[in-house]
Amino acid sequence: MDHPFWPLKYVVPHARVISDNDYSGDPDGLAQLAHHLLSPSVDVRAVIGTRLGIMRDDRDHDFTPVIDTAVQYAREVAALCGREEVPVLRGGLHRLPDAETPVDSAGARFIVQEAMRDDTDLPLFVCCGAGLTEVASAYLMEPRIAERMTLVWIGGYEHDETAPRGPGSGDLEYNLSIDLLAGQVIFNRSGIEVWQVPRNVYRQCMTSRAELIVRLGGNGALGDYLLQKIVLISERFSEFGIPLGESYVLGDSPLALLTVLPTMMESEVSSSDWTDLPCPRILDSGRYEPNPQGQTIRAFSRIDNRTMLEDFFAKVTLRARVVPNPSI
Amino acid sequence: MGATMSKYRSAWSVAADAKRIRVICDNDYAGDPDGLVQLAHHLLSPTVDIVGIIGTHLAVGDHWGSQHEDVPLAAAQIARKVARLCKRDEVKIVTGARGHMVDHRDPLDSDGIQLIIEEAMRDDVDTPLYVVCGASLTEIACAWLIEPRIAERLTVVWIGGHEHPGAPVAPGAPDMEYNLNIDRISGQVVFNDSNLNIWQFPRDAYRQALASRAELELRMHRRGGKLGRFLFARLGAVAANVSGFGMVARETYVLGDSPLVLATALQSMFESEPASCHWDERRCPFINDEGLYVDNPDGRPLRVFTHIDNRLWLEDLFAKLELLAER
Repeated sequence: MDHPFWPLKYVVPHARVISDNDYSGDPDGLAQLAHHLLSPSVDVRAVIGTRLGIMRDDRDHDFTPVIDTAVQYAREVAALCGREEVPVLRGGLHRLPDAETPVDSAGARFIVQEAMRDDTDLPLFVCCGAGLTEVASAYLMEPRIAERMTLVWIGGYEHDETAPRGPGSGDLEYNLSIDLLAGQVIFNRSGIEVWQVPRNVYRQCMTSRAELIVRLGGNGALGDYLLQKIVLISERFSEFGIPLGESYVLGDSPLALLTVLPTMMESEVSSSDWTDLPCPRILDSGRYEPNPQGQTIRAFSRIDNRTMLEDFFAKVTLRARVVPNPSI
Repeated sequence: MGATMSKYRSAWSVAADAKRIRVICDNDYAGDPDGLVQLAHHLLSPTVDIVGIIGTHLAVGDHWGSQHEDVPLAAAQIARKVARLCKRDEVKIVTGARGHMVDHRDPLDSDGIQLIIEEAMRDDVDTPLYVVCGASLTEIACAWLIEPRIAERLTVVWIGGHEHPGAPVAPGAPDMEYNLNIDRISGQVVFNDSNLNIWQFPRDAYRQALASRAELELRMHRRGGKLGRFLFARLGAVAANVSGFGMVARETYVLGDSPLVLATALQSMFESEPASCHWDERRCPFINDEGLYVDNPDGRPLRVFTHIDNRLWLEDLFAKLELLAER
């Protein structure tokens, strides 16, 4: 909301963002999308609804309904945020067939178009909370985009061999598994600048059931909507005999923290930790092999959950003053 | 609501005799308004005995300083305004030195310097004394030069100084950190010459004290009463100001002086320490004329904070604003 003491007219966008995520999958993506759309200091150019992982050979799987739903949910969130004007585009229908052939989609074409713009100096962040099919396809269509954007990606294997891993977590991390080949194109040869939030780090974005109920529930139509989406997932998993317990990882929200909330002076991410390292190669197993010649990537090791979550909850609350809860 | 609150207050009483520590607040209150947030927070902390507040100078040519003819006086005046909003009119507020040191052995004099010496040399109290500095080290350096025995009797908590080796440096950040730049010589006296006990929040640590505009609007401005509205307006004016300088206002504000409260008022009840922060104990290095460190293997121990518990101090601040607004 606007306010005369810190007027939004001074908070002009410092970056462009393309939000690329599996919005019909884990609803943490919807929380991330709402956070981005409620942030006046970034210009969200487009939203891309993408495929998700189905944990088996998906080459013959028809992802059309998955992407239909992703686009539908993204539009619902945009409407609840009062941002209907933001274009919501479709991602690719399948994974890369080989390391040279892009998967055509409206989303991939938009990434190329936006990255190649010459009429703006605002840095471009492509924020991916799922597979890398669209970014890799955009790169294969137009390799010059590599110099013109930063990829912020939630995904990939732990960089720190001593980092804790959840029991049963395999070498092939979930988001990388959605399109392993796309991950290899990006990491192993594209030269794209990557800010990576690997698995042990995105799993730190922990919230509790009680706080989600208190801070989202009854907190405007948007708060209710997001809480319901999380409750639905919880119910669905319970039906499969997997109780979700009392915690929920909002693992896509670092995409908003890292792009929306750098410091004002000497602007930089200041409250999360990272290591700059030469981009390693991704092996077929999903693990890494060192590559001293790789471009420098920023691998995050700790996320400032406090600022991320408090800014998110505050924005949902301020939005609730505009669109209150529907009367029951 | 009010009745319930007062019931809980008496259930966890913070009686006037429960002062655990003494604090002197030494800051450039006419400068970046993060200092005003720190001051209000300290004044609303019932277990801290604020024995004095010193309004101090800014670097020559500083944008904030250029708005005032007498910067320490302007700082003391705005500190008085904050004290009034905190319902703490009785607190002692004095001015610091006019300008920076010019010679490492030649102390300046000011009411602030005398206040530090008098308080440190008191023999009628045994609560620990912290001098918390959110700007230059002028007052404490001069106080030590005049009366070196104060070194055994207080701890200096300082927001300032360059990152130590291994910490990330933001792009465009100058070698000479802002607070050290106000008075480099006093920094050299404190680090290189004195035996003062220092807890330091260098630039990488104080830049972690990040709050977002949305949370400040909601919890400081809307729920924080008159004081909250005053503080939010001061922060917002900076966002408007930087736009005038061709910088882009962001959705964040570094409340970089607030670790002073975290390190003192919010120590653990048992085995008192800022228990939820992380720090390294280093050998106190020398500070050179460029504002950088030079190793000193024989240096005394220096506590360098590396991670601060933002959650604790921000939630405590918002809660204290809300409780004051209910009174």
